Amino acid sequence: MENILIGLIQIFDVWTLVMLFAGVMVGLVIGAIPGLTTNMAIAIMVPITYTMDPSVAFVFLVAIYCSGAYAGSIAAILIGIPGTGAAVATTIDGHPMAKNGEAGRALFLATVFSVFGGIASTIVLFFAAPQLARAAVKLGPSEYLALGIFGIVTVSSMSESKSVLRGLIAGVIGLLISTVGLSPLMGSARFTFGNYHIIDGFPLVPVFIGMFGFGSILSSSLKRRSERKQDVVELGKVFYSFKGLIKYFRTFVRSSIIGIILGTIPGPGAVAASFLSHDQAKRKSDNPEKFGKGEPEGVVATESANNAVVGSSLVPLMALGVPGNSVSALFLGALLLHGLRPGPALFRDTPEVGYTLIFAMLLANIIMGPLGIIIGRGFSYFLKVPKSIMNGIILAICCLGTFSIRNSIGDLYVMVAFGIASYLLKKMDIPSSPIVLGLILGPMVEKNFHMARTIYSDNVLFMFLRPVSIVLLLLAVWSLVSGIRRSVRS
Amino acid sequence: MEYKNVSVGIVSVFSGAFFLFHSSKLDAVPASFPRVIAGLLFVLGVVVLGRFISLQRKGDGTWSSIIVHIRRTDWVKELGIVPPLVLAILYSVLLMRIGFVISTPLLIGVTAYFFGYRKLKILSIVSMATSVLLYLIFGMFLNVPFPLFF
Repeated sequence: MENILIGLIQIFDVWTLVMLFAGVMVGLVIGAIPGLTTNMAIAIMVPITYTMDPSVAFVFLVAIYCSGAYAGSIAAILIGIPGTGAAVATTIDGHPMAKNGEAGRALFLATVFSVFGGIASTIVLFFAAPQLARAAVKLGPSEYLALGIFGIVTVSSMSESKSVLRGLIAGVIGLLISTVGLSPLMGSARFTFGNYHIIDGFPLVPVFIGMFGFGSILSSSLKRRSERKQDVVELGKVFYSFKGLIKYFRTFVRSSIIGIILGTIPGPGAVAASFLSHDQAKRKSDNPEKFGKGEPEGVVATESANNAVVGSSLVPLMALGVPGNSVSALFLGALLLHGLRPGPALFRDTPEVGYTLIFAMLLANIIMGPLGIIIGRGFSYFLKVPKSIMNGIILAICCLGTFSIRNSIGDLYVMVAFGIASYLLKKMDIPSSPIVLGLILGPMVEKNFHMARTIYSDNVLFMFLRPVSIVLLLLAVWSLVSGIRRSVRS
Repeated sequence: MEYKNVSVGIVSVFSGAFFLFHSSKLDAVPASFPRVIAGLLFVLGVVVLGRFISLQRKGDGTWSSIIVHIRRTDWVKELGIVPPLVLAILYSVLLMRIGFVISTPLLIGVTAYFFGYRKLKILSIVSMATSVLLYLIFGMFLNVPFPLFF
């Protein structure tokens, strides 16, 4: 109790509040620009925090993480290019909402439900971190493999394409693309054909920018000028009434739970959580055909999930001292830089840091709300710029954002290649969401495939030996069957 | 719609075969997972093509719908994607050769011109102002090392 009070007193210190505010602003601006990631922002800021008090340093970094997770939705909604990987799924319904004259409402929904999702996962972090961490540790390779298969099959069977077969082909293409580069087991190069640019595989951010940003510019180039004018996005009304928000409560709860669970498990992350939540919202909806065409519930689902991942992704780090994703790995580095020990020792030896961090997450999510709406409105002034100039600016941002990831011209070529691929895939009505998910989950699926084979000595039925795997695979089959029934009916 | 199924089937079959062929040159362990996935892609492609062939045999006029689609497609219009493609590739090549200051305003200006904006004075001002802003963000704040000039 005393430690909790120390954390509360620390968070309301003036300098701490200033750094919290600064962190939220940095996260919002960086996250909103396509190509710039939260990882990048935190990595740049960690050395700057070296001279700060550890509590203040982590308040600053966690504020960047919380606001960065949400800010990607701003560009995703307004210009159809996800600012961060986690906002890829928000593009599916967020940008169509903007094209339908509801950009303001889409931003408002994204902001409100990001705030609530973040608060929900912070509360879970506070009360249930050790228990969640213990449960996550019990999952083995066959469970992770089954989880990957479940994720890809589920999203493939309810993708924007009317054909389940095409959705599955898209998921499999994503998995295949993820095998390009060095093999995770032996380190041998696969399918690189001597090209050192892709020796590490296809970098995710240039792929996303290519598929969503550059791909949309290519599609726009085929439209007549009169058609492009119709693509102009209007801000429109911004606010929802309380009644209007409450009808999305169930979707918010379901998506937050998905985000919290997937955030705790090392691997899947915010992208997988947002896609799965979107998929589940579509399945449970009375109007699934509206998803992908500007359905507000789609934005609620994705944003609740991807911010719910934030708090729970720190659970393995805080409870066990093991980073669960790339951002918590950066936090681990920051903890070590400040001479702190992650895991249970953090709360035992330096409780003021641990509890301050949790209260910082809570406050950061609350502050992020109004600031996010202001920043979103600021970005929306770009909408008044003629579409032709916007395309030029977007192309420049795509190229520079891509280049800034690894300072590699090769990444620009990857962006161009995936832009062309995205254009051709649209022509064939192959959906992009399963490809993205396959690409992200591919390394996890492959690694656990090999581990499970080793553990169970090549026994093909190994996946049926564990109850969680059985449940996940049955859910995948049910998902496939219901997807086939839906496409047959339509 | 059938032309889409045919193209999906052909792409899947060829991609699956391509990856299967190249994974045969790898060692067993690194090749195992890609082989499974490529094999799955090949099978799914065969299923799609198989459906198309069975519809064709029923006389559903699928081939004729594909030929109609090919004839109706305005291939010249489809070439409209080439200019932005060329611009992006040129920018990738020129950024490190002639520098940020020249290549970025050119990219923004030429792209906007291609998309129909004809007020050159405003275009030049916007291109340069945007380039300055982008330099402040990427070059100064994020320290991305790209050359300013030659």
